[in-house]
Amino acid sequence: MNDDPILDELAKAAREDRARSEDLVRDGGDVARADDEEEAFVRSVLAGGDDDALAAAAMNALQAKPQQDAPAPSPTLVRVEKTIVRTAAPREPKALRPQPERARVVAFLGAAVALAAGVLLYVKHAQREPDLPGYEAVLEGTDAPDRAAPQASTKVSRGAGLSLVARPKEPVTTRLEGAAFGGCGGALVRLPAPVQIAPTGAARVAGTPESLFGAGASGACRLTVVVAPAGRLPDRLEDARGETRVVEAAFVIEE
Amino acid sequence: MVALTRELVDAAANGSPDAVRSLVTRIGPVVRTAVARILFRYKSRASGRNLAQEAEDLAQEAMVALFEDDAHVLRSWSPERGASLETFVRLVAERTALSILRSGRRSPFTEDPTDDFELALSSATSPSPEDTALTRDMLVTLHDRLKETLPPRGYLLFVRLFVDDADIATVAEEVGMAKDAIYAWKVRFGKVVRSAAQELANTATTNGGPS
Repeated sequence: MNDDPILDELAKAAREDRARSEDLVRDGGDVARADDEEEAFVRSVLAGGDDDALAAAAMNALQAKPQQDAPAPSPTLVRVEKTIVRTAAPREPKALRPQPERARVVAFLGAAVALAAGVLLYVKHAQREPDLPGYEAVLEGTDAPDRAAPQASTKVSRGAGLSLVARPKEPVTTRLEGAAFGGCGGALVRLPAPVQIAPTGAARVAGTPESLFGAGASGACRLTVVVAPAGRLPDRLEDARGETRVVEAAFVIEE
Repeated sequence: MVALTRELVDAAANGSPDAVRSLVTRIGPVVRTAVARILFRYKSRASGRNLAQEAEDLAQEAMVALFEDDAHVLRSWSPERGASLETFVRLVAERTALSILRSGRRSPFTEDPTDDFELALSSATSPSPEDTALTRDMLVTLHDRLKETLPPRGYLLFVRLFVDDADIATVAEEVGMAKDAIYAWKVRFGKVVRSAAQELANTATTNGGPS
């Protein structure tokens, strides 16, 4: 008991919270009372838990080398940061072959992180010094990386909320427009999904695998966000040039 | 059942597969219960996938939090400091789940300082916590916020001082700190809680309910 009523009430709530957690752990995965949704959920999680996966996650974390300034791990996020490298000569990604007459620099993002996650992300732009800064990609909504098999390809489940964000390395004041392109196993086509532009110049396309790619989409797919100054957005991905920024993520939509 | 001893924790932290397995068998239910309860409260912020799968993912993240960087966090637990390993692990698991589900760190859009919601908050009038009755939900949210924002050692001090109602001298002896330092923490808790309650009250005013 103390003099502060808020602290007093808070302590009481904390006591109840702790007791409830201890009760749930002690009782294990027994049948829940039908009228307690939270308890039923906790018990289902306890009953379906995979200790092998937890042990593998612990062992993998122990064996991972500490990385300075590495982003915090997240079960549904693939983030690539500070890894843009501009090559001196044009470099052609296999899936998005640029026209020979349009010299481009392909900046390859995320060697370590993206490859570890089985994700290919890149930015391309013209050789001329651009006004727009480099962009990085954040793919959100993928299945959790399997801690027991960290080299596995990035997967996306049907029905999952999926978003690809193209984020500038520094804030952009120019008015921007964005478009999304994507495809599974074939050419990348313009998607009807709108691209939101944030005040910072970040662009985002979001949806589910079904809403973005169609109900039957499955297998290896790619999602692309194109950002350009207002009025200069290309109709086709092949026409992206100059100040245009293209950010792409590759993943597998699970059957 | 294997006892949760300092020796077992050290062996697991040093990479013994058998010790890791034994530890996981003991703390797994604590971790799963902690993340499942947090996930249930904030399920609207989950990724939209199967909630049970999301809970298992969060449990794995909590294990990573305990064992990464040469098990730095796990090694910081000491049985002499008043908190059982279960209490300590529960806190780490809750903080991990809260951080992932509540901070919105998955999306750079929610980090935008010019976000409309933030602007709305900053321009809202600010009633004192006393003006807005703290509902049960708000207390739960306030408690979650303490778990998330206080350093682990600070939260465990909060538990001992307020939840367990232990006196300052006892806690000072447990954690090896001066009584004055514990008293300073106690005063700090009052300020932190009032500040967090104020923020909740503001949010309730803006949104019509607790965040």
